[in-house]
Amino acid sequence: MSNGAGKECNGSVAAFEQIPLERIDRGQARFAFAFPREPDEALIASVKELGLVVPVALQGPCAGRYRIVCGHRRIAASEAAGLREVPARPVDRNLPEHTLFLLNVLENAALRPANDMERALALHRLVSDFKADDTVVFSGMGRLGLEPSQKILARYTRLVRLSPALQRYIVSHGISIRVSTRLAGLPLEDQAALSSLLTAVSLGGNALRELLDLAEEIALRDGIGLRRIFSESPLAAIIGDTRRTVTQKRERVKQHLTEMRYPILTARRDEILALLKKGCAVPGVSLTPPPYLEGRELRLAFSFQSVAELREKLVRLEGASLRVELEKALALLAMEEEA
Amino acid sequence: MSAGFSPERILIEAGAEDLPMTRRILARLPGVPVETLRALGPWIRQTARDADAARAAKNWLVISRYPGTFLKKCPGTQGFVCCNYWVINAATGCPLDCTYCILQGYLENNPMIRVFANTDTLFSELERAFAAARGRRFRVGTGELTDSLALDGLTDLSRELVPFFARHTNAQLELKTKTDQVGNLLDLAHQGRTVIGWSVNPPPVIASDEQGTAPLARRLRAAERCQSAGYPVSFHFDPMVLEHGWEGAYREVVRQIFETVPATSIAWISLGGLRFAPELKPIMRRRFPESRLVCGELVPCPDRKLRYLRTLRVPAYRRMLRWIRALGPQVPVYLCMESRDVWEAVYQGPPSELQNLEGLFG
Repeated sequence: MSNGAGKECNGSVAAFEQIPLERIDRGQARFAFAFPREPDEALIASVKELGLVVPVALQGPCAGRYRIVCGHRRIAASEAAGLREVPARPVDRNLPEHTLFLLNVLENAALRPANDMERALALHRLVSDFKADDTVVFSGMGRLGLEPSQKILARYTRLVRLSPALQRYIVSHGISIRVSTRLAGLPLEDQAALSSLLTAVSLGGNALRELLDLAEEIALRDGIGLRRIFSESPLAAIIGDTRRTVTQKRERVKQHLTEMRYPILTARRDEILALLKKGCAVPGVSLTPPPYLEGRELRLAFSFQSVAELREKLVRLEGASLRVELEKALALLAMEEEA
Repeated sequence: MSAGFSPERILIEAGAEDLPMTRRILARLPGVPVETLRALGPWIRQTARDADAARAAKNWLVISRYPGTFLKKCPGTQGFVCCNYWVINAATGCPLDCTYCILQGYLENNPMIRVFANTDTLFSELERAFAAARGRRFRVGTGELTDSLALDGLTDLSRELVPFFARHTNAQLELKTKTDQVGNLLDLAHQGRTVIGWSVNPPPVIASDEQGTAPLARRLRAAERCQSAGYPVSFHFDPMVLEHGWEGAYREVVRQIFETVPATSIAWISLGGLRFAPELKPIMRRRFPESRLVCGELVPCPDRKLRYLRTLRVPAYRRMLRWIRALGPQVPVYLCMESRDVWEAVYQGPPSELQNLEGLFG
């Protein structure tokens, strides 16, 4: 078992050897792009049980220290698992840095698919840190499972503008790249306000997109920032209400934003529903206007289990049909002109 | 006069090289790079992948032969009242750039302005269609997938279409535009069988949401010139944008129309609220982030399109109808892509029962 101790900077090394963790620069992350950076509990448990099965790749030693090229999380997991040394293969110190980075991208791609933040961080680093040319970047995109194109590159590198909290959110909730890109376009203060909201209501991709649509259109119409919508009452009161479940909060948030977005529809529908409630208070019978009030018909629905029950409901409905509230509701739907 | 369209590049699809319209277009655009394509498909895919499709769609001109049928019934919209319009798609794509344009939904597959230069096929087809149905009245437009006159300075298509329709008593042509490019029309013998139409909106809407189009004043001036040349004219308040304060702005446009042209020269006026497929909304927001069009109370209707609430549309149509009738009581006014319910609420009856609309809807 060799630990590489005493080898010079330009010395040759064995193909694969055990390296003490204390000789590895664990704090440096020149070639890292994994997200989240910390190893998960499953990896730590696996290392505890089986040891580190897949060797890491190290460059060096230089002045007795090794630099991590591939395996930042495996090394962190090994440390957490109580290992003192890890299997490592050497990497030629003369390779250009962008090649070393691509090596890490390639190795990760072989182990598991990258998530969108990893793709974003990897591409951002290739372009900004390693100044790689288009050929190298497009090669990296292919390794990350992306079609090489400037459009897709721009879309992914935009994600580095996300706040740390939203970066974690999009990965943990599997948010689509389209929605993630929208979030990345928000000012940081709006992102912070949205993060607080999402912590309380935990929305998936489609629900998040709908919420963004509503909020952004309200913001554009009223000339206000998103943070005002997300952080002011009554939304703040809804998400701060400890008596409600997450599901209830989610529904209430959506309802509130819809009412803000469609005040005329809300007012007219509430007016019609109030008339119907008064005009047709027959238990077990529902009278509903058309969706979005697009139409002039009311829908009547009820169930019955016997002819007697049917007759009773019909008698009560006949009484309701004479009520002025029902006429008023129908007149509102028909948009009858006032005299 | 607004500037005519001048593309950055011209691509000629194989088979269209020697057509008269192709030669005419090339002669009018010396110095513009020209490339011949064997097939359009691979070029479209590459452009959609690598280029700014929106920019290409406004600046690259493709000249092709149209392989299909030129004359089609206007698709209208399912379940809504239809006015029996026909369309000729002699071009697709448009150099103008309106926020609400449906063409934006097809940019990935059509990143170009495309002109179909095989007009001999077009006129043969029209000849056969009109001859086969002499008892039917064809009302035909060319502005479904483009602006009828925005490319006319290059193609001169109107100088073939107008005389053609002049010879056919069972057909009427409408050239609908947001430009003032009517120079080609004024000396043509139209026999009153071509209507020149303008989409109109208040100046603030034109400025914010109809980029590249002629200002209202120029459109009306062009209408006056056409009317003086004996053309019937039409006006289309479509899309109507029902933002706060819309009443005063639209009433003023109505007044200006009747101040510019005599009511007797107006063939029809149409009204249509802003409407679009839901898929268009994110495209509109991305391409025109400052536009407030998407902020209105637009809701899904039975045909899936988003429209203003009925409670907004119906009163708007009623008011427009009152203002128009006050100045031109005999001018046919119809609704575009509206439900029977809305027709009933506005007119108290379907179009087929309205005296001066039976010619359009019968």
